[in-house]
Amino acid sequence: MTSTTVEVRGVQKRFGRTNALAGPSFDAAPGITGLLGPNGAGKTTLLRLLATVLAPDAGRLRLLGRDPSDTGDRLEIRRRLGYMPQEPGFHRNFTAFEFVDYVAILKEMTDRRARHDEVRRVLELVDLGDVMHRRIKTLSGGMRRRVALAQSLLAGPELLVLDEPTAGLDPELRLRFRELLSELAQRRTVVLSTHQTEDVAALCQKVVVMDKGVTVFDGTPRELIELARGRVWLADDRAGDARLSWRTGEGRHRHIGVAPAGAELVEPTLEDSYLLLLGKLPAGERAA
Amino acid sequence: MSAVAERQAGATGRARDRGASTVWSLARVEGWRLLRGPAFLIGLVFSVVLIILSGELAWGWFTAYEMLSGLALVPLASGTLIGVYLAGTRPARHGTTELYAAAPTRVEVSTWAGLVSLAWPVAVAGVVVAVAALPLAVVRDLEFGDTTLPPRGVPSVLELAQGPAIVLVYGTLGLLLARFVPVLAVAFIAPIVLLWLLGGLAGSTGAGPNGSYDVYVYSVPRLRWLGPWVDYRLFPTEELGFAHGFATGRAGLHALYLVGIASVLAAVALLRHGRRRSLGIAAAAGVALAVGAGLLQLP
Repeated sequence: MTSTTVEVRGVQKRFGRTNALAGPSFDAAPGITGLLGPNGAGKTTLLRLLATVLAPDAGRLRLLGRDPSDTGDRLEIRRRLGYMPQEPGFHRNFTAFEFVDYVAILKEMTDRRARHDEVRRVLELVDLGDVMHRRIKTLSGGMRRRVALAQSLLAGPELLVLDEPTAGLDPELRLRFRELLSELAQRRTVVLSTHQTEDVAALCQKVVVMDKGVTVFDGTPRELIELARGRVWLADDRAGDARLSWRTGEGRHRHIGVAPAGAELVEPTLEDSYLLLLGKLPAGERAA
Repeated sequence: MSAVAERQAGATGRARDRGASTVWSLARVEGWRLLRGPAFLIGLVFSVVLIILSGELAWGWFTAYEMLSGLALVPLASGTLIGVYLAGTRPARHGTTELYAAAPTRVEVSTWAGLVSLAWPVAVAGVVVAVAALPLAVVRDLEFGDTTLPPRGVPSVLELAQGPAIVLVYGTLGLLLARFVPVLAVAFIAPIVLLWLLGGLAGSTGAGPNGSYDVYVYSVPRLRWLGPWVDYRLFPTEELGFAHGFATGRAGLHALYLVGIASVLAAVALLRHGRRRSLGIAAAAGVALAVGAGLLQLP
């Protein structure tokens, strides 16, 4: 039996005239929940709500069984939360150790020896043990992403909120991230946003697709893939009226939607379903 | 007390303990970083050079007495102001505000830590004046600087405390500016503006009437005592029948006046995070101390 760690019900958030969130709803339990969506879908705003950095204008939000609008509850949530923003920002003159140590103090880890042990543990967990005493400005982009991930792992948070953790990483690093995240998610709830449908397919027990500030899908990756079953085709030629078709590496054309003449039905991928959901096809071809 | 009230009181106590521990842990980090920062180190070098020039090289107008009573510490204080300001605005400048906002520690705790971290530069200032004053104390007849100008001799401990107090005021001002005006240029403009304003205040009178110190001491504008340091050249020597240092007030009052100003600045910086009765009381006490000691020190 899984317990709900994150409960989002019709939350709304406006920034001036922009309606960033127009009432998405979903639950998340221990395991990995992936948020998919195009730019401007509201993923980052939603993650900021989950990280208690922003408060919703309306709707219901419960994290770790508590109400983040209550000051005491919010403090308790923050004590049990790890957050990696999309653009975490770094003090470039700090070493990786000093930076994570600083965040550890902000997480109320005040026993110096225990804190330093924990800082070393999380840095080694993300394979930065050898460079932890190098200044952040000398580290590569991938290493900095790992520093950002390391700070989010301090004190073993029960809820981990990661905003595009694999953005800008090379394939090898992305695989290492996946390996690490899948280990972490065995005992905690991880909510991550990404543009990479492969990450969701490989990692997530649950996927939430957002568009224009609302939830357009909430289910398992398998269920999402099933949406496109019977709607993905391979043909020798590009269909003249196709809105979404591309030439594959083998020289054939992959179509989503109506089958062109002589096309062969193929297994859909999560990306095919994602594209269908976002209405990249003519209105008559949209998934129900 | 009901069980609920007891639980709440317990939780409040634990939160306060946790807050105090976090303040201390952050202050340690910030204090050491401040001492290692280029702004502070450059200020320290300038201060030491000023003391050496006023002493060993018998440099021009300023006497070692005057330098050690506060003036020499102004570069170190300026470096502290810049360093504290940069540390206070670091999250905004480096884009870590969002990350820190998700941590259980409130920004107010960081401000408290910034204030406590001033103990580090203040301690360094204390060591600098203590070490520099040692030769004066050991060899009491030693004459420094332009010996035709008073005063000579060694400042009292309370007069020496004025230097570290100036560092405290500058550092607190740096934190206040960081909380209210987080614009990088302020860090570098503020010490220059202060030097111009306060330097003008400290030396706001020209030559005394008749060039006589005994007459001149009564003509010193009261305003000059409200600056962080006082130009001791304008005060008479024992040979002329006046005591060293604060000829017109007891030593220590000016240091107290500076501590009062620092208290007010600190309270206002903390009020940035929300109004609290205790902070209002602290600010009022700071004003009372600054006004009281400031008036008592006046000629």
